[in-house]
Amino acid sequence: MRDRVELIWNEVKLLFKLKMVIVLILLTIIFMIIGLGAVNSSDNYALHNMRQTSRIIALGSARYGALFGSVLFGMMTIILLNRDQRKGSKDLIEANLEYYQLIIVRIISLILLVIGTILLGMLVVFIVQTWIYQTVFELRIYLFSYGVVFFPAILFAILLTSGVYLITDNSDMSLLSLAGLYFLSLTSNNYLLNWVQTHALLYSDFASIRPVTSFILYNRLFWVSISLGVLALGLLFKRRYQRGIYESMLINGQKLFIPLAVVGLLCLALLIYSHEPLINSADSALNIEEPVINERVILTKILPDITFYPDKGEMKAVVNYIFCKELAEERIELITNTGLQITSVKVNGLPTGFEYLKGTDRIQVDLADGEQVELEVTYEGRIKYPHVSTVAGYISENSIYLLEQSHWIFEPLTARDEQVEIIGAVTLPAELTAVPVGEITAIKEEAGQKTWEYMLKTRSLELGFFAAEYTQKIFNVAGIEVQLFTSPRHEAYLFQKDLEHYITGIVEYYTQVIGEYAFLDQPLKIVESSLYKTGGHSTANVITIAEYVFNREFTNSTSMEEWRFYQDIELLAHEIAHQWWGSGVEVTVNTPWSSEGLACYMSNKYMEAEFGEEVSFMLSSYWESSVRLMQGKYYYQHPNQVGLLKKDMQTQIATEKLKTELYSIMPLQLLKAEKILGKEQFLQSLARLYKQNLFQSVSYQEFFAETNLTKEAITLD
Amino acid sequence: MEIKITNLSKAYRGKNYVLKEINLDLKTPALIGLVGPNGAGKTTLMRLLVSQILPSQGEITVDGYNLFKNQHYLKERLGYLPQDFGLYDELTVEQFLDYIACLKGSKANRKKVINDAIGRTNLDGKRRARIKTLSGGQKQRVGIAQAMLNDPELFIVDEPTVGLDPEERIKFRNLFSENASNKIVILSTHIIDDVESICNRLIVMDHGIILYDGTPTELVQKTVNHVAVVELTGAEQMITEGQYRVVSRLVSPTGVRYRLVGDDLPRSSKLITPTLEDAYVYCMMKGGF
Amino acid sequence: MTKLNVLRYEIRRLISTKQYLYSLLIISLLTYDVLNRLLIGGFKGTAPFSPWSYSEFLALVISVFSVIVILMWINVFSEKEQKVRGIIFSAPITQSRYYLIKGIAIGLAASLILLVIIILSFGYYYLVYGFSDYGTFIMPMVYFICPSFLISLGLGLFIGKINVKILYLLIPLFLVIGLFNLGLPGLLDLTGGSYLFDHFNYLNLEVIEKYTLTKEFLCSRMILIVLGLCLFGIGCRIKQ
Ligand SMILES: Nc1ncnc2c1ncn2[C@@H]1O[C@H](COP(=O)(O)OP(=O)(O)OP(=O)(O)O)[C@@H](O)[C@H]1O
Ligand SMILES: [Mg+2]
Ligand SMILES: [Zn+2]
Repeated sequence: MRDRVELIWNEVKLLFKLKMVIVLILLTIIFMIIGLGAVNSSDNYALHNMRQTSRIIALGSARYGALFGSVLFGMMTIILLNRDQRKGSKDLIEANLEYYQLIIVRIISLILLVIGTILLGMLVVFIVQTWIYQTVFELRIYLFSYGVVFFPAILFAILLTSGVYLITDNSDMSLLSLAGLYFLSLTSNNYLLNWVQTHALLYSDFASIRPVTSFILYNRLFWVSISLGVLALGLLFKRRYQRGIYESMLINGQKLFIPLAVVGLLCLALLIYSHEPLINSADSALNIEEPVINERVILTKILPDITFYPDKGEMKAVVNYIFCKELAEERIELITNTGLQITSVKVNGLPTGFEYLKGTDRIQVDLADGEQVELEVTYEGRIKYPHVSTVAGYISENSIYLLEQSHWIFEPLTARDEQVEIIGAVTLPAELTAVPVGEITAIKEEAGQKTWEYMLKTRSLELGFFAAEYTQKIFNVAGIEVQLFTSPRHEAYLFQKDLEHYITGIVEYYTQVIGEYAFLDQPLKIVESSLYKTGGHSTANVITIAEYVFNREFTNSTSMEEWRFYQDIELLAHEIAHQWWGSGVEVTVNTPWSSEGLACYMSNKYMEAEFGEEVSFMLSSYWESSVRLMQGKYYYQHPNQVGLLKKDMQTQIATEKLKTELYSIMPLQLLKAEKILGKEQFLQSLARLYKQNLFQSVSYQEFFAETNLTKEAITLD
Repeated sequence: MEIKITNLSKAYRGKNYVLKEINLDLKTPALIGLVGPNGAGKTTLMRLLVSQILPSQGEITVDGYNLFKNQHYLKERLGYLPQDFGLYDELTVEQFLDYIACLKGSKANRKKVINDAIGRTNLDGKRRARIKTLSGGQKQRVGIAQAMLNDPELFIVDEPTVGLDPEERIKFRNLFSENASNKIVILSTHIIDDVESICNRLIVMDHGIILYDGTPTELVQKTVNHVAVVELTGAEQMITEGQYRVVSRLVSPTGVRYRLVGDDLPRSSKLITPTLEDAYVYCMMKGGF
Repeated sequence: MTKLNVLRYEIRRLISTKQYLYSLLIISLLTYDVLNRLLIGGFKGTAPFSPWSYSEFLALVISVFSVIVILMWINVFSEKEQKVRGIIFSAPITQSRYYLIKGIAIGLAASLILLVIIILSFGYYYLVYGFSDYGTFIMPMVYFICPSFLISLGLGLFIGKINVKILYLLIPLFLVIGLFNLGLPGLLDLTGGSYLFDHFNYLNLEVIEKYTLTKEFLCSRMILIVLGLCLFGIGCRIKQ
């Protein structure tokens, strides 16, 4: 044992004598520092110029370090392992020491070197961060970024290259394999394959790292087994006695633990891959077809009672649904979240069976005969995502974010009453502020847990839920109580921007132009959310805005700053517009007709009123260019070719097209309608449309009827 | 061909001089043996001669041309075997020789030149074998073969007989002396036998200076009266008087027989005729003549 | 004439190795993967067989290709090869001439890999889309192969002559620059990948329909080509 330690120590000392190693350490650290500013060169333009706090920049530095370090150290591994071969000292060394022992010693000393590099880098980053970025250094975040993202990436690079080197006995082949794996990691959008940089682009300053940790950890688990498996494979194929690969294998295989390790580790990797627990590939969100709705059954009431366990990322739910129907028995479907295990299903208090529809996230339940039926579903577990980058919901230590799309409350595919009544309760640790939809009717505290009871009447069944350590600010606009929930981390920053003023302006503008807010008895809640889901969202009377909006930082270039600000305000105005179009009046989707078009159009009108025509014109020109861009697209012009593509590609193309239609074509058509009728008159007819259909839905036809326009008239040239 | 070396000095990377003010004049025909202890500077001198390294001071001219300005002139006439060399492992002997022949730009029939070299180095059986599969001595022979290609006017071989079996060694040293009449052959070695049997000129070096430059016989001549044997019986102590070096020590049933070289030999010793090896030792001991 | 034979030997030595075959394998897999996974939907909405898609394809593949070229140079300057130099430089061949031959050999062996990439991609386009108007790919090839190819060839020799160890550092350089969008400007954008990425952020229909690249980009490509050739020229002449 002592010998081994000494051997490793000698090897480490030897490493430091190589100039190459010094260069390697320096380069890695340089890229760690460059990575601190990665936010502004990320692929997601919306994130640029985000205020750079410790959490925001920590991952950037780890990612860049991993991106460069993995290749650098992979290369160093090869240089080190084939050093004796190159220098012709292999026989000399092999005479003194079993060669595979030397390999292990070298790998270990390299890993020690990596740890040293990372610690040194962390120190330098600490200095740079406190001096140049002037932000607090959060050790916990750095330990995670470097320990779970950065270090493993390099570790895998070292293990994989040495494994391949032992298998191929050729340094070029090992380096090329490393390049291939690197390519895979950088281009794949399967998070399991991103072994170098991991899928997360940034950490949230607001929600911290917990929402993404399970993905990163699972990815690491997968690659630990793969890289160790490859290394074991390497030890199995290591050339012995100058024999070929096959004979060497027979010799090496006599040490039984080696083949056992190979089989065990690689099987484990396969198992980890095939039993991926976090992603639900059968999620309804990925389905293009419309679900079938049982119109004979009418949903009248939902009574969800949910308890959250943020530290475990879990929830427990007992949800009661009340349905009205004819006397006969009916079969209905519910959209579930496959991460939530159903523990019981009761109809009118009696346990009953249920069945998953194969390959979907829907269950089928038979409702007993009777005109009013009560369905109780009990379930618990963690929310699954449809895709790593499509975050519809997460439950984490200091933030809960659940959009209706996550189906944290299972959605029955039935007809709905004009106003479905929701009477719910959520229980969660007292330090978190809950922001449910509707209005809060009671708050009870018990043993560090708070239960928030709330109530809402909704047509669209938009049931989001948000919670975090919020600070709340309340003010009144046009008879509406606006509740602003922001993270204490960003509070000061946001109010510096005079957010209150703009919210007031927006709400007043819509009230004046379209009509009174539909839910005057309810507060309008504006909630800060994390960057794991970009942009904003509007669900019932709650609006979320991702943390980076308004939360910007500019070093110079004021025109850029101004422009960014307009975009951010427009986003806010868009989401608030949904309170009129979407929540107040449900807009029956008939592509391109949907609430999005109206929200885009209305927010643009607000921008015009607040900042002038020039600004609104600039913002609307974006619609035009995106329409033109779409029209220029090959698969748009050749729809018959789409069928040849893989399904996920088809979905992607269809989604892109749909988005352009909803968010760009429709607003442009509304602009055209405005031009035909005159602004005043067009807005008046929209106002009439709103008043007449309040709490109901409005269709494309009704829009045409109201405005006396035709589809052809507003079709774009 | 005539090579003139004047005041040649060499220091690697500004460290101590490993060659100091060497002056030599080499003229066709010559078969020169270069001997000296490890680190004497033999290889350095040879690498300077083939212009693989630059001198720190001094000049080498070949047929009156400055060597470092007219490398091509020299290399067209050169066959060189480095002390420590590599070969293209994955090629066969024939291919490798062909490769070098192409580099040398053989004027004559390339095939014939290669066959000739293979034949002379006794590699016929291995001509289609990959160099990877050759033994150490066989590789050494491939090295010699490539130096022989084109029958060069200047033939510089650095310890060519290393790793060769006795039979091959004898064959090779004869090979070097063959048609030496129109060449300069410089051969460094640690085997005095090799020099004795073929060289007509001997250069002894140590610490970067030339200790002796002349014919081997002359050197032996200078050692007459300085070599003796003494026979001691049993485990009796050596006589401590005098100054000499023991060249050999042979244990026999009757006692131990010592061969001594030196200026001040013990009185009990018997003078004998020196060999070249004795002469070399004497020369080293005296630090030159 | 005999120098041609040397060249033949050099090429043979390069392409009869297992790493060469492995390079071919990796690059073929990569070609298929890029075309079939990354570009099947077309690059930024253009047809999968548009010159733009082809440019992106080349920009991605060429970064790994450049790594192969660098690996070839690393082998030229490896200890094993250096030991043979003792014999080689006793032949009447100048260093620059010798490295010129080496460079041409690497250039040709690498071109063979390129040829495989191109043939595979053409075959793919023909089989999958029935597309065979390969003439439209000529300009992408000129802009996206030549600069990085020549730079890797020139830089490989230049740096190898100075220090082999630094040569190893070119591997991460090409990989990271080629595969990861760092938003690098002009000359640093060796493969042109960053340019393609940024170029399309400024939406412009004309750009998509015609294959027009900005002047600055063409300039940077020209400079890279010239730089590559210069480095190669200087590299040949550097005395070791
Ligand atoms: N590349 C080098 N760098 C620094 N010093 C060197 C180098 N090559 C040789 N030397 C030194 O130069 C001196 C002469 O070396 P050289 O190789 O010429 O000796 P030699 O006479 O050929 O010895 P041997 O009989 O062992 O081959 C030695 O002391 C050696 O340490
Ligand atoms: Mg020597
Ligand atoms: Zn919207």
